[in-house]
Amino acid sequence: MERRKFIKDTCQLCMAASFIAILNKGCIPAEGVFSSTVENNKMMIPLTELSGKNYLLARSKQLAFDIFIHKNKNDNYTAVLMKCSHRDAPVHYTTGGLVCHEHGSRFDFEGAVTKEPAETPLTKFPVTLNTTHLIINLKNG
Amino acid sequence: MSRYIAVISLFLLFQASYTHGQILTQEDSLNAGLMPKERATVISGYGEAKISYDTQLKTATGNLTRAVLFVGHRFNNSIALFSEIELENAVVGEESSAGELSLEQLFIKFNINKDHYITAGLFLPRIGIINENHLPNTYYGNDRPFTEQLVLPATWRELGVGIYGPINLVTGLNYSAAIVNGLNSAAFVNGTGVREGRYLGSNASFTSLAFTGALLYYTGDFRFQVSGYYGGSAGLAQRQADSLQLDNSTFGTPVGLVEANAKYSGKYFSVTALASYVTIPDAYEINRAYANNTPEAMTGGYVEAAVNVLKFFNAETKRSVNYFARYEIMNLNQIVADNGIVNDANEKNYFVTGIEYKPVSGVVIKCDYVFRTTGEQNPDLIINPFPQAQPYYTDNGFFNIGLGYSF
Repeated sequence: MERRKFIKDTCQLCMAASFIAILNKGCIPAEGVFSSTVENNKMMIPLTELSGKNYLLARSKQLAFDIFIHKNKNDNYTAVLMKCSHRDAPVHYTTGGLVCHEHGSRFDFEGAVTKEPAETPLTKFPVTLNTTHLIINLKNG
Repeated sequence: MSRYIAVISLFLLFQASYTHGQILTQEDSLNAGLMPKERATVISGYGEAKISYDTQLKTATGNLTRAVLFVGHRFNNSIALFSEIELENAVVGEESSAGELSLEQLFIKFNINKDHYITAGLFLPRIGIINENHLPNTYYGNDRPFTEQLVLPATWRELGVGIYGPINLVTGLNYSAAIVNGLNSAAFVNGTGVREGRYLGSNASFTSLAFTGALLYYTGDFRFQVSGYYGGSAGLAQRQADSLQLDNSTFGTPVGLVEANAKYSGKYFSVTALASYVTIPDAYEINRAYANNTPEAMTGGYVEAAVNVLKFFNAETKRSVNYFARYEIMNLNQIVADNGIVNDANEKNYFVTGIEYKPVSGVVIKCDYVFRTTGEQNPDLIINPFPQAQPYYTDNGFFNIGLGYSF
């Protein structure tokens, strides 16, 4: 096989993969994601961000994983760390619950295991509400 | 021109990594209260053993099928190592043993951002269900689905680079794409598809390459996936390729594969269906070079249903008793090359039914019956007739009892 043809073929594939990744990240904003900061082990989410939604992903540069905030049927909020309890891979939101793609573990919106191999629930954080914010206490997770 | 393309590709990949990467300082981590240190090591594993009774030969065998040790290490919040060492059949090195020690995975994962990541090294591409999700407590029966052993050669790991992430346009839709080394058509064995042609990370030829990609969609209790693979299988030097009259270009002497599967996982029931098709258009040339009776095409699929019986009595129980049944059909010589030899034994049907009990999450006890029917073996292909080899039965049943764990 010609060296030139080998380099050309492989680089074209790399280009295609890079293009897909950048297009996917750069052009399409992720919906339902709110970026915040962590101060004194607390994350503050304005209630306006939660208005009319039954879930929100809270993201911070200080955290390796997002936090999934869910409003249940009784209008109570829960917050769970989106880190699979099996092998620390990220879990993803789906309409049926949270899913880890690495080995197929599934969790309900409050972090309880609905499908193995994960054995333990997702890390859950206590939440409190004031007049303007939902406060996630990360220290007691 | 090739140099420009290479430089641009590398630049884009690195730019993607560093623009969106999250590098935490120790102070940040402590503030977060979640990660007392950036570096962390995880150890876990899984394994399974079974006793199988052959109803035709009236013999039983016990085997420690596999034990796998997983070691992962996070170097920082963007880069982590994943490794799995697998021991199959308990013993390696003894003359009579069929044991095998191998690396099932060894890759480094680079997080581009919180959603997207790149894997580089020896990894399992997203093809079929079992290739990624093969822990014994995640599939029914003592044996992994036969279609995903013979048509899709799980666990199929190769060296390469892959990228994974969600497609933000549609909630629950994810993609994966990877470039890996190609297959070795010289090692194909009739009756096992392309399985023996995997390099598994051992001295793989990188003069032939393969591209694989998948779309995975979760909605409600459903999971849908389509995946494909296309790659070369003759990574030979030009002189060898000319001598054997094989195309040794990057994707020369190709193997193509398409697969689709769907799964419903409810509280009480689950249903799974999978269909796959493998094409080897240059099978004639491979047979001419290696005389290994490679087919031009193979097909296979299965449907499976399971019910969690305990849930009917106690909806909140953590334990489970699952009854399941699976039907599989495959043809490993769906299309035979002009110089190939038809073997009806490659047309196989499996009916598998059984029960499994999970006393606690992570441990499973399995009991099942496998009924296998095939066509007649082609007598021209029998090299060692009875009594040197066991007689071949077109109908055969196997009672299996086993256990598995994962943590």
